[in-house]
Order: sequence, then structure tokens, then C-alpha cells
Amino acid sequence: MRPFIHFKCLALIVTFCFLNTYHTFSQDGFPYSEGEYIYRYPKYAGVNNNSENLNKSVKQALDHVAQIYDLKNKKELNFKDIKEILVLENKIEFDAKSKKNSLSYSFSRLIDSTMIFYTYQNSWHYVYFPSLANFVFSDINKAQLFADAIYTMQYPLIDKRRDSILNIFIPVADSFRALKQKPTVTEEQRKLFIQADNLNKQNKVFDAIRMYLKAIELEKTSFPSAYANLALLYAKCNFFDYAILYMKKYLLLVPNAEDARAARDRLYVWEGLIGK
Amino acid sequence: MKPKKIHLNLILFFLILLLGFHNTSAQSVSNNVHYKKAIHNLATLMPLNATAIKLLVGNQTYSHVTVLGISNEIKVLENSIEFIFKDAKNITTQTAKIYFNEILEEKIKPKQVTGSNDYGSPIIENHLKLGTISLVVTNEHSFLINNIARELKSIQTVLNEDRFKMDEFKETALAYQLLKEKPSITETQRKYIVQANAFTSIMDYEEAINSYIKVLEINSTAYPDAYFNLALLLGQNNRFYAAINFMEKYLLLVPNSAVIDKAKEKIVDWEIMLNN
Repeated sequence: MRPFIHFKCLALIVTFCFLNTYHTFSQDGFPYSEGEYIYRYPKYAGVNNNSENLNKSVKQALDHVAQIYDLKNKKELNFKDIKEILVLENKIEFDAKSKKNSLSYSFSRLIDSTMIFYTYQNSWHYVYFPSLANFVFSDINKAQLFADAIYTMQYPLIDKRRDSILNIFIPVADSFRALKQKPTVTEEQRKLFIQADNLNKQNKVFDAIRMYLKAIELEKTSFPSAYANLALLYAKCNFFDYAILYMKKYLLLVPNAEDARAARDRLYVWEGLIGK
Repeated sequence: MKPKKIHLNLILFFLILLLGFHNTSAQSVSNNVHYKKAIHNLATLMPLNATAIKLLVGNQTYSHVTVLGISNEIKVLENSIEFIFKDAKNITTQTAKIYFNEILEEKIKPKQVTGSNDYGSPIIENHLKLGTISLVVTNEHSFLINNIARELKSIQTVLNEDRFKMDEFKETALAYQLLKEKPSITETQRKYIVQANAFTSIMDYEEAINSYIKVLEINSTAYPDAYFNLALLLGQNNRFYAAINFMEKYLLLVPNSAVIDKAKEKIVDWEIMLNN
């Protein structure tokens, strides 16, 4: 899982007043709109967890796909040109009426990629795998079905990657907690934090996230709340996996903070929303 | 002397309670006097009047309705009613079954509907909706459908009482009252409570209900508010039997609650909804 979300943005700037927003932040879980895009989130379909059922769901959903953009080879495939869709154990094959338009995606590539589920101009629903493919649906339920199935396949890998990122962070957090004199926020960081806060107020959450990540890169532990605020911003646009990662980092840095209880509760909410 | 006396009375009280409730297994339903009587009455009533009852099958919202027609034979069983359709050679072509366990939340009340007969002229029919199957009779047989409804309601009451195990709960509630130190919620319970609140705020009532049920499965008395919230959510979903039951359980656990008036008002409202 890469720490940057390509597609338009993710950087959030943390602002000092964010600490108060824990209690006022009650809109988690609704689709998030920014401009003409509405960002949704997939759910872990734990109950139908076996691969046979998931492949069935994938087939069921893809039977209703309207268009597929193959981003690697810059090709397009419209549903009218599709002769047959085969969901095999390790890949999905789209057989086109004219053979040169046929497409094929291995499950391992799809599982490995980031997935973004959004609606554009309130009409078409996209399940987007950056640099790989973009699947377009007119029926949101089919788009959700597809996104949920792929996400359920992805989840163990997402979890593993998140754990390994947290493992790398643990010694950083330990040394931070051991310091008698904590590092201070630099002027450059302060500037980025304030700019991000402004962007968030203008509802440009993705730009704000990018600024936050920049600020944290400068000095990782000078402002622990940065992680909490970053988590809140990711949650605002429904990227709960990232939200959970950053909130866990926050709790590693300052496990006894005043808002640690609220932070843990927020974690539970996000885990519940994605169905874990 | 005084403490000893109370102790003895308590023991006697619990013994009496235990003696009364040794058969709370599912088998006790079939031994229930009212249940047996209702089954007997249905068995006398329905098979003889099979020619008067027409069956309709609909989907969840009754947007699509299929007429199954008049069955050749009706069998009233311990747990269900079977409608058997046969062809000219007396071979069974189709069987429609209504399981009593599946109509526990149905409002069992015949409705008068103006339909049209085979020749297109208007006739008044009585419909009794039982899940996805509806029983239809002409107006002259309204006594039949009313009697069937009455017996089914009786069966429904017995099954619901068994489902909610109110008598067992009275015992639990009493033991809870007597505790000086009430149990505190576990971390897992806290997680489910937080998730239930989040689901309620995004109006995903099904998930909220599931979360509260998980809280109660861990410990049935550590968080009494779960009963109150669960009752309201179930009422929201038109599951009135369950809603009334959970609200009554809440009042047993916390008889001096601040919301006692609201709770009682809700129970009255739901009972009205059930009987109309």
C-alpha cells in the first residue's frame, strides 16, 4: 500500500485546532463529494469470504459493466463489443467480438493495486485501479458489488502491509516517547500545516492531505497530532484504510494522550464501516 | 438475624422461579396448550375448506404477484402449513409452504380488497398476507379467513414468547438488580457500541441492530442502554414484536430509568401498530 493516493490528491495538512474536531466529526461513512466526484468506499464482504463466492460476485457485477478503460495499453472496451466475460481462478478475461480488443487482468495485479470507487458527474460509477484499469458501471449496486468483492480479496494483503508499515514505525515511536526534549515544529512545517488547514476549509481534502504528508516528511514526530488529523482527513474522503493506518501511528506515538480514548473509538467506527 | 432471613427468602424465591422454568427449550412450544389448540383448530378448518382458498405469491414488496390458484390439498403440520397442487393424474406438481417461524413479525390481519373475477366483474376479496404468500378468499368466506388469522396470531404469540424468553430474563434482571456493583463493559463491547452509534448516524439500521446484538451476546446486562436503543431501531424497521420485547426487557433492567415515560409510550405505540 503506497502512502500516496495518486488520483487527485491526498495530502492533508494538519492544523492545530483539529484536535477539537474529534467530537464534532460525525459524518463518517457518507459518500464524499469534491467537485464533480463523489468518493465511496467498498465493504469487506466477510460472510461470503470464500473465493468461489467472490468470483461469482465479480462475474455477476461485470456482466453489467458499461465500459472498461485499459490504462496500461490505452485501450477502451465497450459492453457492446464484449462477446464473453470469463472469471477464472486467477484472472478475468474479456473476450471482444473483434479479437484485438480483448482484455485480460490477473487477480494478483488487481489485488495488488490501489482501488478507488467513485461516481463522476452523478451519472457513472467507476472502480478505478490506477495505471491498470477503470471499470465503468451505470448501476451503482453492480459497481459496489464489484468493489466489495475485489476489496475482500485485497483485505488480507492490505492488513499485512499496514502491519509491516506499523512495525517499521514502532521503533520511531518508541524513541520519540523516550525523548525528554521533544522536537519542535519548524517554520516550514508550520506554513504547510496552515496552508492545509485552509485547503480543508475550502473542501479540497485531497490537496490538504498532500500538504500534510509533505509536512510530516520534513520532521516525522514534531507534531504527533498531525497523524490524527491526517487520519481524520483520509476518513473524510472515505479512504478508511489510510485513516486506520495513521490513527494507529498516532496511538503508537502518544498512547496516553487526552484524546486517545476518542481516537480508539474513531478507529472502531472506521473498522465497522468497512465491515471489519 | 435480619440479613440471614432475607438470604433465606431469596433462596426460596429463586427456587420457585427455577421450578417454574425448567422447560424453556424449543420443545416446550409444542407442549404449549394454546399452541396445540391453535394447530388443532387450523387442522380442522383448513383442509376442509381448501377449495375456498386461493394462493398468491409475491416478492418482498409485492410489486410482482403470481397467482398460484386453489390448492388440491392443505396439510397443517407442527411447524407449517402445506398447500399441495396436483395435476389431473393426481400427481403433485407444486407445494407451497408457510413456516410459522418465518411469519413471526407479520401483521396477521385480513384485508378487504376489490379485485375482479375471471369475467372481469368486480368482486370483494379478503387477503391475508403471510410473508411472500397471501391467502385470498371471496367475501362470503370472510369468516374462514378471520378464523385462520385468529389461530395464526395465537401461534405467533406463543412462538414469539419462546423466542424472547421473557421469563428467563426476569430472573436475569432480578439478579442484576441485586448486584451492588454492576458489571462494566469490556473493550470489545465498547467497540460494538461505538460502531452501533456510527451505523445509527449513517442510518444503516440493520448493521446497528447487529452491533447491539453482539454487545448483548458478550454480556447481557453490562450495558442496559443496548436494550433501549435496540428497541428503537427494531421499531424503526417495523419489527414490532421484537421492539416491544426489548423495551420491556430494558424496563425490567432499569426500572428507575430517566426515559421510563418515553419507553412506555413507545411500547403503547408499537402495540397499536401491531393491532391495526
